[in-house]
Amino acid sequence: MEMGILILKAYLFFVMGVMLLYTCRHFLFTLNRSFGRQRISCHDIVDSDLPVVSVLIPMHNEEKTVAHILNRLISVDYPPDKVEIIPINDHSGDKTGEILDHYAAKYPQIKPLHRSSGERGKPVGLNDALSIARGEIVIIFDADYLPPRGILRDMAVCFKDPEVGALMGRVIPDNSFKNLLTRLLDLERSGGYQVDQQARFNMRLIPQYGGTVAGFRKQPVMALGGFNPAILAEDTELTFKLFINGWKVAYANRIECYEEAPERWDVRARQIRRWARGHTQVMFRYFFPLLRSPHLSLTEKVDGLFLLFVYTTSPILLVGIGDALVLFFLGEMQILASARLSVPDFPQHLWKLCALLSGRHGIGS
Amino acid sequence: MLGIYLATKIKYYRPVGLWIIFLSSINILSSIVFLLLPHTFPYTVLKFSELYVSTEVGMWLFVPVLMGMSLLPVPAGILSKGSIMVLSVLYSMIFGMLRYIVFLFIITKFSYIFMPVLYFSFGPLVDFVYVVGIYSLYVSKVSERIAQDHRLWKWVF
Repeated sequence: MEMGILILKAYLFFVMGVMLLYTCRHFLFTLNRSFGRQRISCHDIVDSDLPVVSVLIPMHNEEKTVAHILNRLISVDYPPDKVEIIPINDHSGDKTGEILDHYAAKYPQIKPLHRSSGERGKPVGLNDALSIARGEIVIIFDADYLPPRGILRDMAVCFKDPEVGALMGRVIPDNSFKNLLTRLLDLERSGGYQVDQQARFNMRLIPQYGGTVAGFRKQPVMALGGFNPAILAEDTELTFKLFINGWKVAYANRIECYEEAPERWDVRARQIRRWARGHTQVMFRYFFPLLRSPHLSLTEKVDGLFLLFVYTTSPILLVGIGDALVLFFLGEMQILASARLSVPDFPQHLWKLCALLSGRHGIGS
Repeated sequence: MLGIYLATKIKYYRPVGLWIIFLSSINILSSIVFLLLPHTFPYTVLKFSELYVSTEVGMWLFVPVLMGMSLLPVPAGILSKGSIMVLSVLYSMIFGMLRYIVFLFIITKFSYIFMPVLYFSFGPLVDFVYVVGIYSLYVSKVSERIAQDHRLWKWVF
């Protein structure tokens, strides 16, 4: 019984430790962003020698949004002969295909890829589109995004840095004041991009490629096998794949693009569920390769581990609540109470636990 | 039942519904313990008070540290930041004592069954809600005040 209680208490300490570590990490990011030296991407470079760019837009039943993004993209500030737009019509059942064909007839740079058979999904669609794309740089937007006029030029010049394998821009909700959820998401996006992503870029850690308002070099991504259709978070996978193989992901805070944030809790819940599953898949797949990679520094590996394990914190917390309830009913909740959580007590608890685990019950008693 | 109804039928109230389900689950667990093993329930009013007060004292020590760290990067004067820290601790102390009186009233006048739900759902662990609330209110006021001064927003770019 005593050993069980010690294990339960040790788990609570573990939960507190995990929360403290993530809090410290975010606090460090905040300090870096507030007081540290800011690192900018190469988007201020003015260069007439621009690379050929393929813009991929995965879409499924997007008849309401497709015209908006295409209208924006055909008027971008980029040499027309160096850009192609490939909307990926992935098994749409509405008028998305017709609208795309109408635009393709009018604008030669729009080359829709209609997918009506085979597996559905963003990674498969992207792989198919990559096989026909002629650009050395690939830029991806979701169909409900509204790219500004200069965005392709800003993004393409960032690849002048030969280390950069992928680039991430900043996503801003366009419907922030719709309801409580969108306001919360606006805050989350601000924290996630303005603080976390930029601080990770400043500190030469692991900024994340986010899969939209994002770009990558086609050649290395193809060489690394493209996107894995079995993984739900293809963006997180690409981040780790590139870092582990010696490439870097750059973050450009000034490359902004507006999106429609989810306005309903169930839509947001589905989004988070998909991200959590995908992230966990990547965690299992890339945990050891991350540790073994010779291309990453120690700080990059530590940050990579924080990033890989971020979605495990929720189940850890949930089990922690159950753990605390059991301790409460056993009358052993004093672990959280200041009077019993004195510093001298903690090593004593830890010592007792170690002694019990090693079978040396007499020690420390 | 209300929680399940809110969580499943009315999408807008889903978070509220889930919270009610959480509270109800703790209460059901407590009721089962009192039905099957009433003699094993480890708390008297005195022992519960000891747990509550010691946890609350921990919060009073933790709140200024948490607020201090959170307010550090905020571009505002030391006096106003200090005032917010003092306000948070004072709020915590007054609210903590009032809550303790309410808890004692419920436990002594109604039933010990409510001890777990009071401790886990309305107890010292909920103090983070008003700490975050006070911080958010302060930061939004600071943001409004400095909104026109572009030098202070340089880090945005």
